[in-house]
Amino acid sequence: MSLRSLCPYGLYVLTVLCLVACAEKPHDAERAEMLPPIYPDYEGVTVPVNIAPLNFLLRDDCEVVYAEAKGTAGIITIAARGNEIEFGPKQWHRFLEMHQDKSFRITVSAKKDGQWIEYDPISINVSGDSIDPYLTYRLIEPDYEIFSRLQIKERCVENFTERTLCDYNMVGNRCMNCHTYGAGRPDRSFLYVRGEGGGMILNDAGQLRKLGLKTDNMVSGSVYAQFSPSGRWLVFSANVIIPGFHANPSKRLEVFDTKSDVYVADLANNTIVANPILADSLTLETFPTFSPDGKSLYYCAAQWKPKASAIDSLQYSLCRVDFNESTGRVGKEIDTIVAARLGEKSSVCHPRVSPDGRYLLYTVADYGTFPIWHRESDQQMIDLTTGEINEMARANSDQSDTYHSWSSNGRWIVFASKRDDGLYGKPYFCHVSETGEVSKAFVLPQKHPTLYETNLKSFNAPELGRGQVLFDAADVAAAMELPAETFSRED
Amino acid sequence: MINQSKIIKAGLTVALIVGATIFFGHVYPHHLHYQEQFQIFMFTGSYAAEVIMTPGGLADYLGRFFTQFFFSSGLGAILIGLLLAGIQLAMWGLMAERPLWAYPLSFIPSIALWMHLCDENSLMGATVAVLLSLLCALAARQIKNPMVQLVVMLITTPLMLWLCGALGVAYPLVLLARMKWHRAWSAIAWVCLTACVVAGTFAAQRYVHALPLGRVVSGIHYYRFPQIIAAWPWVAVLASAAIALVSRWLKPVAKGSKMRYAVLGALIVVIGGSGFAGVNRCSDMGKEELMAYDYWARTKQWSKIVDKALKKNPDVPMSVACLNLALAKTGQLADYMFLFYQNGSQGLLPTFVRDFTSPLATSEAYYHLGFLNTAQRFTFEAQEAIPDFQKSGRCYKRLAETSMLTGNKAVAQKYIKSLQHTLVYRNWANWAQEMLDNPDGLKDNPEYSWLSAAQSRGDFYYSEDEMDSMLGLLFQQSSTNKMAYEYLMAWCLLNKNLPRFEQCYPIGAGLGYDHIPMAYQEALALHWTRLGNPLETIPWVVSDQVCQRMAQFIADVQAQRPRSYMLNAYRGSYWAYYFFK
Repeated sequence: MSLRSLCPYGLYVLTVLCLVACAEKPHDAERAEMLPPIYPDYEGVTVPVNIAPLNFLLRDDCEVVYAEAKGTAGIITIAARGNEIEFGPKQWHRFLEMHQDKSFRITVSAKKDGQWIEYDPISINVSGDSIDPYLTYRLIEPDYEIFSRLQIKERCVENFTERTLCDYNMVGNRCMNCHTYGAGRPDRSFLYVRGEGGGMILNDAGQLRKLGLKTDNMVSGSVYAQFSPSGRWLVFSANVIIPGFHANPSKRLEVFDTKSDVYVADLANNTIVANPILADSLTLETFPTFSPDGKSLYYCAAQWKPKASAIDSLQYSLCRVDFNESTGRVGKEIDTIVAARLGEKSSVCHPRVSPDGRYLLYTVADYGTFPIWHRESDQQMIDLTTGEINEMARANSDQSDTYHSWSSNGRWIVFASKRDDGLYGKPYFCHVSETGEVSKAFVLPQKHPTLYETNLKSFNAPELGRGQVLFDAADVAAAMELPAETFSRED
Repeated sequence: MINQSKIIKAGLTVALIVGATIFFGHVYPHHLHYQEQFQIFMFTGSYAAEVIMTPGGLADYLGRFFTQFFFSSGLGAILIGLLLAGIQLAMWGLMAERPLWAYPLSFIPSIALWMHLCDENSLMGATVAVLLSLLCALAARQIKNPMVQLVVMLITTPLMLWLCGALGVAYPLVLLARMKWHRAWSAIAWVCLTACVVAGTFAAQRYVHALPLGRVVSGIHYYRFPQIIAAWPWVAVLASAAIALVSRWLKPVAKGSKMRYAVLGALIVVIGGSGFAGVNRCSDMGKEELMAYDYWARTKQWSKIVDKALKKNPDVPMSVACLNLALAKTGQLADYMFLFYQNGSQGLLPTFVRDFTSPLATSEAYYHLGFLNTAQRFTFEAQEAIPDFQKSGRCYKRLAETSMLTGNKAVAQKYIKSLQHTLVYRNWANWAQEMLDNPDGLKDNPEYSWLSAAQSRGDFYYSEDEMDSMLGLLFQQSSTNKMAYEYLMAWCLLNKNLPRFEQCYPIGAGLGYDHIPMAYQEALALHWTRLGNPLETIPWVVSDQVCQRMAQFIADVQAQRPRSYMLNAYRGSYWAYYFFK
């Protein structure tokens, strides 16, 4: 037996010795015959090998909480006063590496009124598929019309470090929209700062440009946009957006388009290509995105309704057109990939194609373009090679699940889910296997999981990135001082 | 024998405390209530860390700590009095020469800050920052060796600027001003060095906190609107430095000399008189009145609102909306609303505006009506519009209430958890937590049980243009919601829409009125006659008195009586509102 092969066992023993020695171990524990009431819920989830420690809290009054994470290759034990378990980052990562493509169990015990209780163990699978290490999101109160203290943050999902990419203090408390990568590349991304003097802030290999993506004939500036694989093209929708406020307590806010068209911008020559087929006045076109090979353009389309009160029947289908990367022109044939069916939860939003081009992930809701406020909204995934639809039952919840994006290896998705309280969105991750199986979702781990209990911000439009983006809030503030680059129209 | 000068000094300081207490406790109390509602002070480590980590954070934190007591205007007023007295005594302690006659000079910074506090958007952090700076200067003054004192000052100035913000510059300024310089060049050198330290600290703060430099230099949390620089705290700082400088050359007047008391008296008159005039000029009693209406609506003191309106009619939409709400809550809206000034439907349910004040008062009306989603929205929007980005205890409580009543327990829980860490709202939050755990307990609370039943349950889109339809739908859902019916009627009357009034009037038949309310009788009589019908054939039970008065009104109109006569003769009637407003 070589010394090298003994290493895992040595580590095992070392870990046990180091940690158990310091911990108050349960004794004479009563079996609770139930899973521990922990938050976040990690039972049966699949996590990437490089994820930050899955700290959790026991939702119970206890004096001491004890957790034992045990797999075939090692063990970590932790005892803590109160109800919060925080794993040491180094031990955690070593432990996950040892359990790559295996599963482990966490047994939680709690001391209540001097008596130890041991809960049934929870099981966690560790996937050897790494997740992109960075996650960006907008922190925003789930507001109606007035906003304040908006920030766009970048979080390393391998640990708990967070960085501000755009800060309300630096941009005069303006509205800002979410940070979007081009294929997860940290040197190609954009965000919007709205309001007077605002524009799209384009991260062009670390150099920030301020773009005024609007020409005279467009109904508005750009709203939803995505990069082409080469980065030369940006496809975007221009939308006239109207808010509506529900009287029913189970609903809150409705946001819908009265006009919307799709355009393609050439970032190399500052032109906007108008394709009439994507700017039909009788059709609302929105949420455009490219296929990873750059040959197709997917978007959502609905028949225009003359009355705002008809919004309940405003249902969007998923469409596709050919795209010519050398001219920016689209084909003449529109394929309907997923057709909306009146009266059914089948209105499509936010199409995003997997990096290998096989799957297309989208949100379905009863109607409209703002699934984040629709409790019924769920994600679905269509296999573009077979047309088979995966309803992703293990990933979805009875609250809004939407705003998804892919990890660059196509094995992970992240999305915003309001499953915990119905109001505040949080980033949830799922593993997608090679055969398209989607695992149970787990929330972005936090150093102190109590953060989610008191935090009054939504984590909006989470996006995964391959590296740390090449700018920060001060750079965005400086870019805001630039004159916006203008674009000419190319019909 | 008691030292006479000590008595005089103590008397003047006590006069400051008593004056400030009376002013803020009795003349200006609702400004304190107003201040309290736009913050939520939590006794948690994370809240303390979040506030204290910012430039000026300690002063801000302590300012917020004091502001939480403003929920009781009496207690808040005493605290303000004590803080102002603390600044005055610190200033006196920092004067190099301290003859009795100069004692009134030490009141100048406190008076400037008193004037600052008259502004509803001034924050307590500025007062605390000046107090802390002067107290630290007082402590540094105890160092006898001038060189050591200078070095200590240079080392601790960045700390003071970090803890107190830009107003912390009072600390080095006062110390420099009261030092005895032997050579001009050394004074210049130390002033330049201090300026470099101050500038360096500001630059570091800007860098660390990613804040615009202008905001760091002007102080980030002395005024509710971050882009506005509050002038009076800076007057207090400059006055402190000037008094410390001038005090070096003050000479005592011989004991027993009449001049001693004459100068003292003159200074008391000049400084006291200027202070009185300044406070008078800086205070805004119109806003105080408006805040009173909002405070009483918030705390459900309906009779106080009606009593106040009987003495002086409110005329701003926000205060009129509070009055109409109070009339509705006391069962007087239908009879007596036109006894008071009415400014159209804006005085019933004001249009939403994107600010942090008027939506709060309007949300009270929506809440009591049972439009819980709308009350929640107006409250949420008001909180988001608070210019200095603070959260609000008042808003948290209302958001917790609406979330609890609409069944969004997990959201209510978030707000309740925060409120449990406060002083003012803790008891309510603990009770609300029990209600979350045991929802049946809500039935024992008349307000919540009624709102649970009466709240809007159907779905429609909120529309200010179709308020009558919204109120009608609300009443349809809960036919015992008398307030919804009376607001619907009032909406029609205020908009002078008599056909709609007539159409909606019968739906309230089951509400158990023992008479047709006066305003309704007048409206029905008016509508009937405007349709060309004789009053004798009116199909509703309108009193003879109203019919006779209506006939007289018609006669006066036909006689083309002047407007002033009509307004006077028919004051309080719907007809006066309908024709002359």
